[in-house]
Amino acid sequence: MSSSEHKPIIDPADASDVMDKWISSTLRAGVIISAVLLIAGLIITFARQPEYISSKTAVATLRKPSLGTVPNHIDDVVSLTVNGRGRGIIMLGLLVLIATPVIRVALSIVVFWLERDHIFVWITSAVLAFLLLALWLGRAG
Amino acid sequence: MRERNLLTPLLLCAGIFAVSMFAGSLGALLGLGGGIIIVPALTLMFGVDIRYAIGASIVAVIATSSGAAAAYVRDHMTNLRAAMFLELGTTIGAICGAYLGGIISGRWLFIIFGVIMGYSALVMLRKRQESEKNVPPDALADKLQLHGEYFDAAENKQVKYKVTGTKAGLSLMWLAGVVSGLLGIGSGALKVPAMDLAMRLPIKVSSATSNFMIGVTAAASAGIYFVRGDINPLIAAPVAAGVMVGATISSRILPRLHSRIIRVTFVVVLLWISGQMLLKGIRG
Repeated sequence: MSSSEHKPIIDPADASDVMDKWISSTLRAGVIISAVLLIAGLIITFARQPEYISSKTAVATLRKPSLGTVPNHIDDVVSLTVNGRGRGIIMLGLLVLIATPVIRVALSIVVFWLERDHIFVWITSAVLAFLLLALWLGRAG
Repeated sequence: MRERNLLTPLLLCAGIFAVSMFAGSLGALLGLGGGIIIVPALTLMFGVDIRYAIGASIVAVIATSSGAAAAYVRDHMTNLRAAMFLELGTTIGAICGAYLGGIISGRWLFIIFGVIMGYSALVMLRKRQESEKNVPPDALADKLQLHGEYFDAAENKQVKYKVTGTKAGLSLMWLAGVVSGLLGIGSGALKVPAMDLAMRLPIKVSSATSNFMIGVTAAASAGIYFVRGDINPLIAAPVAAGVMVGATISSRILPRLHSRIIRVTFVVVLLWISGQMLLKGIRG
């Protein structure tokens, strides 16, 4: 499978199986952690702000960006979470979820490196770089 | 346009959760990311601003992709090399699209969404034929060793396939990425035909590979949406949770009902909704 003359650390066929299981377990863990945070955050939000259960005017702030503010910086998310605010916990859960594909790409770099597939180590690293670039650009834009 | 003053936040979240469950289960059944259902549902049914809808939808796409991908990777269907190679195109496209989405007015987003939806609906009707045996050689595909094989459970044999059309595929993937970043959808409807027709991957491999790719593409856009404040926790959370539950239920309890009737009904509904989105964009 590999085109280079070096011997792979792990036989590609075995690596494939082991890595696939590793990757899918990691993905599943990420999704579950995210789900727990999301649900906990939702419950806490409604528990701390009972008017959300019954108020009809509060809905407008949820629907229009001009009326409500959402956390859009990691520092905000951390401080909100540490203060036990539901919104922060939800955003944390969402960030974990968003991270799962990024982690998957990073793990794939490891897989390709173990298979001594240098071209794809580069290609996958480039994809990871673009993903991180997107985050950085977003912050600046 | 009638302002919906009947809802409380709790009811709104509950309603969004229910609709997302439906979107998640349908998406898992039909191989869609669910974004194509969620954005119209949030905007047309619940009156949510399209930016919040797109932000929530991109999260749902990631939930669908990461949730389902665990199974596909195990089955060795996903062509990881082709996916990574093509992701070069989609991630750049997604960055372009997400940026554009910040500048373009909401009404144009509705119009573009309606057009893409209509196209996706028609794509679903396309007969899925297996490609012919003679696949033209592609130097880049050879160099990167994109060709692969998978075990077809239906035919009970290992199937080998060759990949071609790398340049066309990469360009199409860039376009799919732009659409994904702009509209907050997975663009599976654009990716699968690109892999299937332009690159000659077998349909099952295209679907599995697309499912993996939509998550990565969505992650590229999600970062930009997050910093722009387009991801509202109280909208995105019920959407993500609903989609996860819906996709899980769909794969566990329902058998694979891939009947033509479901597909045709869905196409009709999609076309109707795409019309609604177009109208909203045109009327304002």
